Amino acid sequence: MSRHELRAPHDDERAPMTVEERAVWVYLAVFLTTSIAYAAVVIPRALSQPIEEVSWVVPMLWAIGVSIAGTIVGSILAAIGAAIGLAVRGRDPEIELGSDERDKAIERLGNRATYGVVSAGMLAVLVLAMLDADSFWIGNAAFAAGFVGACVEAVVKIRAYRRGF
Amino acid sequence: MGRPSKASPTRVTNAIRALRFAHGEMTQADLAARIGVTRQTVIAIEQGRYSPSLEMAFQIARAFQVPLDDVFQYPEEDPA
Amino acid sequence: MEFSQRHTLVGTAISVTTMATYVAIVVVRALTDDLPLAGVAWQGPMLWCVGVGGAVYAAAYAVMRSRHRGERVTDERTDRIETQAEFAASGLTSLGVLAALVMLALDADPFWVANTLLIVTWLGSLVGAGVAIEAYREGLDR
Repeated sequence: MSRHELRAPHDDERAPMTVEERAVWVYLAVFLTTSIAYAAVVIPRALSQPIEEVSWVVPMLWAIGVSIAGTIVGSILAAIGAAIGLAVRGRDPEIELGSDERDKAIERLGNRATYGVVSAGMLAVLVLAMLDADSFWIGNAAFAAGFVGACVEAVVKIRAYRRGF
Repeated sequence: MGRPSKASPTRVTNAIRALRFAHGEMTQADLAARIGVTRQTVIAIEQGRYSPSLEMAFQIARAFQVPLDDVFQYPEEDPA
Repeated sequence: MEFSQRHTLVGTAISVTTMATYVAIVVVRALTDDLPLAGVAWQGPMLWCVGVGGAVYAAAYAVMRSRHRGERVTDERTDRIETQAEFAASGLTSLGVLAALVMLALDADPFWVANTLLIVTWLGSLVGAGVAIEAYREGLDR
């Protein structure tokens, strides 16, 4: 009996992502957007003025604030959208979207990967602070560490969702 | 992205699909509801993309009322 | 006690001692020289403490590992415990980065930025160690 004969109604039908997987994508989209926007604002300034005079603080606070708020709001909207979509087709959203041990394992896997990256970044930031570097460099090193950590986290999680782990 | 099972991270194979059909065409969603996970997880297990916890493995076996060995198989060590 | 559990315990003890020493040096300097805390030269003590603590840990690790020579000390279970521990630690560490950024934005003294970062990261590692030790003793939660 071939694999394809064993197909109950709705089996293998394009499974919507679980709420958690959806949130990872939202997170990735949001922080990529805000980081690029931040870089677009600050890099031209840094190239045209002395570093100490570059005002990077307000753009960075905006980038961080929008990333956090955007991820929260975006994940909630994505979850609601998916639930409505399933309900309209008469499917149980709980079974398609909920969160279980696999989501939890992937969550841990992703955050563990970030931990290494962020810790290394923190070491760099501490060294910069010791050398009394300009706060522009300290702040942007910390921001860069957070950015790389977030990228690693998102990639590890998405890989785990799609290919297994 | 349906990847071939060659890239699967586990050597454990399973007969969940066949068992579901032997049990009145139980759907992936039915099985998921019975063991309390998402349908995505059932799909991932069937495709070998996720090794369930021992606890979940027993719950799956119980759902089909068969011993664990009938659900999951592990290949003999190959000499290579 | 198995190797991974012991080296987590020993590492935690070393890390707590080191941190206490560092804080004590900075506070004593501030008191004896009658300086504000942020005026203390903290860079030297921090480097020394990190360096000495790291060296002691490396030595302790080597000694403990040598007692299990030829033995397998990591496997699926220890790996899962470590994942769980680092997951617990990562939350606080990320919070530390955020706190440091906000402090820099508010133009705080580098002394406070660096030390907040150090202490929060350290607390994160303690939480991680606690989770690991708990998991070695009581078992993993799925």
